Amino acid sequence: MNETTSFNECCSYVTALMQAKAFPAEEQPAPAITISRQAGARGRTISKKIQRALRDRSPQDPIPWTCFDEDLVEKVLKDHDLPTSLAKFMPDDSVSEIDSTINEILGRHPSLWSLFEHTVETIVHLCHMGHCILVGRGGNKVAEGLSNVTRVRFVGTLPQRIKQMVTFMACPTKRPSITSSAKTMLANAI
Amino acid sequence: MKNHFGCNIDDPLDYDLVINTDHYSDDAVVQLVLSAVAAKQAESGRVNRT
Repeated sequence: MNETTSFNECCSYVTALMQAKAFPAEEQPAPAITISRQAGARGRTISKKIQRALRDRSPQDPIPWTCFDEDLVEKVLKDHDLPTSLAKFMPDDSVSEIDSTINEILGRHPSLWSLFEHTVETIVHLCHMGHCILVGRGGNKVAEGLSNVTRVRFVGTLPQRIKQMVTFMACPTKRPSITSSAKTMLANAI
Repeated sequence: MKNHFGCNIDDPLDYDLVINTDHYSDDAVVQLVLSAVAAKQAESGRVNRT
């Protein structure tokens, strides 16, 4: 066997190995979860429990599982250098068009569209990082097509959800006004 | 959801898993979600390898 050919083959093999090490196979992105929930379907409580269970499963994880609920807004504002006072203009449920337009004209907050775009950017960023649980904010729609994201929705029957809301708000069940206010809240919630 | 994404929040096709929490404890729901996450991760890993 020609020594030069053999040497060249060895060189090619070593080069190929080195390249394989330099460019390892693309790693699977870390998983993430989006949670959508009907009001009173215990979404928040369960999200926190999922976070705890996942952290317990892998305590050595370099990126610990984190649940973004109300703090997602804070993260969006921080990511885009916006004042935290804007948080009150970004509720999770529907926003009155008239109120938001007036606030926008008065310069109280940027346009709802730009706030929405900032939120989407932050959600996509978090999903790519993985190990996060995103509650609400249309995360399921933003994460559509991302193979590492599991999109979950919690639902429940109206009577059960009213019961849950009454318990959650620590209201006495005998007072009909409270029960009806819980009912109104549930009807108005997304 | 309707305003920004033009979709119905109750459309089950927009989710991997929909759970009626009425008859499950919190811990049971947590287990269901964890199983779904593991299954999806395994599936996407299998697709990436092929």
